[in-house]
Amino acid sequence: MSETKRVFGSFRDPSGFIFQTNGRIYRQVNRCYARAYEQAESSGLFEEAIKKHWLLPFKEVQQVRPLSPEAYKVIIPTLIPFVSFPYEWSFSQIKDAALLTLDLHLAGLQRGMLLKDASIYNIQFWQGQPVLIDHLSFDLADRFNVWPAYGQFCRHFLAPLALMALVDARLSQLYRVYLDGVPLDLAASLLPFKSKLNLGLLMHLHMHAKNQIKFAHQGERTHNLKKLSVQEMTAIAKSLRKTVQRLLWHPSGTEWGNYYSDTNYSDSAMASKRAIICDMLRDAAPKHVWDLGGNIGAMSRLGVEQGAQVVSFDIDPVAVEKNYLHCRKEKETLLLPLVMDFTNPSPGLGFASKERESLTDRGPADLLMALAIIHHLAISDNLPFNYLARYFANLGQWLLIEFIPKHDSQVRRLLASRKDIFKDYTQDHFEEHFSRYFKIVRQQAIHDCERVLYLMKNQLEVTR
Amino acid sequence: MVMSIVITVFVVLFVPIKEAYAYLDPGTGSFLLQITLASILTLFVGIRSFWSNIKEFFINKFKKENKDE
Repeated sequence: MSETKRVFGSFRDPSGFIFQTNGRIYRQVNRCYARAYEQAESSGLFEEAIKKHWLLPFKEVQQVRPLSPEAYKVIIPTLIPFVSFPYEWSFSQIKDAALLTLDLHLAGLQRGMLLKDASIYNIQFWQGQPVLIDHLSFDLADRFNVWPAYGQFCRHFLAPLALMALVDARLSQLYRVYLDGVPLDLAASLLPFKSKLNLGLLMHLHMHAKNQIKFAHQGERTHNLKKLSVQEMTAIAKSLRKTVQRLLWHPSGTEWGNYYSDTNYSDSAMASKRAIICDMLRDAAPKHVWDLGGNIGAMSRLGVEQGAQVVSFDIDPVAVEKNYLHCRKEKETLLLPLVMDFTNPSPGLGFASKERESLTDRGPADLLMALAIIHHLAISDNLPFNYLARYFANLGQWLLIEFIPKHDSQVRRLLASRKDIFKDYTQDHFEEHFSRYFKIVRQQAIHDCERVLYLMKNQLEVTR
Repeated sequence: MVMSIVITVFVVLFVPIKEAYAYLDPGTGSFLLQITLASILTLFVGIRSFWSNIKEFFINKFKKENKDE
């Protein structure tokens, strides 16, 4: 029996909402949005934005019943293989999403429309590039006195990008705390003095923060104030675009940045590892792969070569940035690099902790790759094999995992500065604990190296 | 700058406008800042365009004189 339900996080905009039926995602467009929808369609805005890969393609559907009587239309958007959130993106991913948002707004202004909201959660990565997924974001410009999403754009994009570029890229994690974007007064207080010498940041961030505080409790009426012309709104959007475009982040080397030139793999060991992984991927034939420690994506791309959609996670924002820039340069469509700390993966966030799904709720993947990561989790983070096996069993049907013995130089490096309290860190214990949740289908030692690769099948049936 | 403040005060006080149609509250601070910035930025655009016209005039004149020689 099919179940139809409204998607929990889709409740803010009265123009419509997302619902799910028969496992497919639909969007109900309400009658109050009819004029804007028709304008976006007749002006060619939808067509142009889809053609430029700025807007997620969609189709109108007649055969699906809307959820409520105020419906004007039901549309079916193209399915996004993996939904990700800004606290999982690297600097350039957020920057590209910001530029896209402004380009969409500018394209709207050319046709007498604008983006009525500028939420970063309206952007997703699809086929390697950011796209707008909210088909109800455009509205008629003459309905508004000013750009209503100006404050939201600055909180969702400008403030986090300025903090990442000028203070520390790890400040992207503020997205986890501030779901409606980083408060501008907080950003202004964290930014260095030199940010005030940047005219764009001075106007859109520092002056903006001051103005917000000044008028926060004065209850000024804005209804009868000046209405900006399209040219004036365009000037503001172009100024924001220039400000965002000029924000740069030059990552310096981190512990993972040079991983592939800083390991104990000989050329033959690396070739052997790649060949075994390819074989195992062929055996499992996954459509959706999560690479849990993807680094700059060298092994993730083996999944792509097999035709899978691969999410390449890494804890290091530098590695994810490098991976994304590579994807962008090579126009790769099947790989999505994301920042993720598997000792503290993305939880459910927002109202009732359900607006933004946790990582687990966005799974399971067909196959997890856990290469050269188990020793970090077990030794650096003291996670017992049993915990890891149980968690991985929640995340995927297949597990392609590398065991790294204690006498491996990488493990010895981890133990160099601490007492070895890991008497259970042995291959036997590893197999014993993982066998409680997985069936070991195949195992193979890597040539010229003491590491072992395993292909395991989940004994439980995990479903979405 | 003085000009933009005068313009802003003028429009804030004297230019009436209809109700906004939005589910997102732009916030009073953001609203008023946009009005100020719109004046400043369009002024910049005007100055830039005026300056490039002057530049273009002299470049053309210089080219013409060179040609005549």
